[in-house]
Amino acid sequence: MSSLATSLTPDLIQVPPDIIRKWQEIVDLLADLMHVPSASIMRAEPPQIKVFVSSASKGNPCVPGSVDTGPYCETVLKSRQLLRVTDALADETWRSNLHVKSGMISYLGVPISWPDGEIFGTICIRDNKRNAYSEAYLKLLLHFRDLLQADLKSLARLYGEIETREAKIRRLVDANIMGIFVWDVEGRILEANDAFLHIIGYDREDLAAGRVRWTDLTPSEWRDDTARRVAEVTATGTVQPREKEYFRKDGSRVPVLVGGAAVGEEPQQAIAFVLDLSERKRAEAQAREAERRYRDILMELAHANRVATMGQLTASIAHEVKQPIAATVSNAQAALRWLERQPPELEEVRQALAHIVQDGKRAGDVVGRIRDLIKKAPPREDRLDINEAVREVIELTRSEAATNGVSVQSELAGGLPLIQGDRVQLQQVVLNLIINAAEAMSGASDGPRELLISTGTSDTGDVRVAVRDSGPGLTPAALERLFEPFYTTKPGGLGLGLSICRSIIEAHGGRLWVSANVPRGATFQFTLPVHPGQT
Amino acid sequence: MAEAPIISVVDDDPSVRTATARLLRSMGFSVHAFASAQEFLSSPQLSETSCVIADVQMPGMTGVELQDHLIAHDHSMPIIFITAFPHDRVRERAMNAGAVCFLSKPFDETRLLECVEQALMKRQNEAPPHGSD
Repeated sequence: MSSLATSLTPDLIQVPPDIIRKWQEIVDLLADLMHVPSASIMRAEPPQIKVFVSSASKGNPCVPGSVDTGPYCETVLKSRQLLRVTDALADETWRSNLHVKSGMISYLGVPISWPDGEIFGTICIRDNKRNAYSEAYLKLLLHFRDLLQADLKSLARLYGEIETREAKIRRLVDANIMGIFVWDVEGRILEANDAFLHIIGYDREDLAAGRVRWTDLTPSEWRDDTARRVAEVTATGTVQPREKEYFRKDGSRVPVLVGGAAVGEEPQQAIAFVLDLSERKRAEAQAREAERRYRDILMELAHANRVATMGQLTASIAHEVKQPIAATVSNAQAALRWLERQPPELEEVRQALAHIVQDGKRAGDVVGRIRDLIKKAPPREDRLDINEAVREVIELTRSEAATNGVSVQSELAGGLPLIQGDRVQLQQVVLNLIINAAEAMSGASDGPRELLISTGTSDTGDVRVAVRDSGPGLTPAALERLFEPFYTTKPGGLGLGLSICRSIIEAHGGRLWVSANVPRGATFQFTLPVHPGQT
Repeated sequence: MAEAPIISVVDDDPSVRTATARLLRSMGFSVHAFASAQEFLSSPQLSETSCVIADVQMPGMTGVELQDHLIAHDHSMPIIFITAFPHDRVRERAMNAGAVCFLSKPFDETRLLECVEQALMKRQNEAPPHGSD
């Protein structure tokens, strides 16, 4: 970006046209007021002096743009002082010079300086006759010189500001914190900093040879967007930053954030800034992956917990049931053996049969005893906020619900009273209801899969939790038997979940029931009494 | 059946204990039943027993601990385990320590008979001369 880097020196400052017009008026006025054929402003352009502005008066030999070849102005520039030549023909020093040849035999000139003291040039008057140039004339000339110097001062300040600003831009560009390049609508990249070249994998030679075109860097799916952006910069002068991709030199893609603005008065060119998003994208992907793994692990834990609970229950049920069954089998086989004796030992047979009856009853009582066991487990005396407990379970099941294509909504009522109970047990109930609902809906082939979990208070002032699904619903027969142990509508289901849920809720002094929704689905809800410490 | 070998049944579950004892008696064995390992160990039948049939899960001393105890005190009577909670690790341990069988409840009478006969055979082959102390 060499053009942005150039330091400006006074002799390179362009005097803008409006100032030149003003200066023209000054020299015209000077020539008119002093009745001389020539009033001029010269500019030092070492080693030459050039006529910068000259009066439009009749007989003026000084033509703007031409080289001033005479010694008058040269003398003023060297001495940096006023020069007054009243009559060159009468003066040995000035008698023969080029000005005299062009008829200009008198001269009055003063130097013009930049604010830093550097010489700009001169302002001078020439006459084709002897002219004493009174003090009044000199004052007038000096006055106009001051006007010119005031203009130079503001010009220098303006350029100084530009320079400072450009130095700042230069810092930004050279710091290579972000990629910066100047482009045009033709697809060219006119200038670019190292950071940009690094992002796209090209080197400076590629840039110089015109091998880097932004139209080639842009993958085809971004072409339409890019066309809109070009229209945007043409219309508004800026391009809002947005994410896109560039092709790198090796053909791979790099994700970037690109924004920009039109450059100066040139609508066909714009400056763009580019941030490499590769690192951020990688970090985001990692964060997403970590989040996903975390959810998976939570779900696995929840599942494992369920399976472990089931496993424990089934194992203990198996143990309890196997004892009377084993006794029954042994008794029956013993009875058969006693019967086969000659003569049969009928008393032994009678005793064996009596035991078989006893053990049969015992086996029947086992399931009931297991339910009693759960009921008797004293719930922990925690005061808890049911919304908080429910919210945790919803979070836990969100990814499983999403996997089943189920949208989960929650309507948790604010300001609910605390309840008394075992958080883990109650969360297991909610977890069970949610997973049951999600599984029921995952089997439904059509219709929305919506799960609504709500909390509130019941008519009796208890806290109420409801899990409403849009699944296939339940038959009246199923509704009646749903909470019986070992009743299941699911292939592979153990049929213990809901009976255990009901046991837990009843142990907390609450109720769990189910009702059918219209037009479809089921709502499971339970109530829990408010903590006795609250009104 | 004066010469019938004595078999001791150790099981804390009264139904299973009685039923197992009844089945063994119907097979012609002399049977003593005990509700715990300690009861068996402190009984006079300990030294007369030719074969022990023990439950694995019992309060106090488990079946496997009973086995360890018998080995430690040089009572080399064969043991048959019966359990409603078959666990591979427990089975492996019991069998490695010399158990004759490890049966799951409910078990079949023919399988039990095979195990008992196998145990008595083993007892005959290994019986030390002071076994009747």
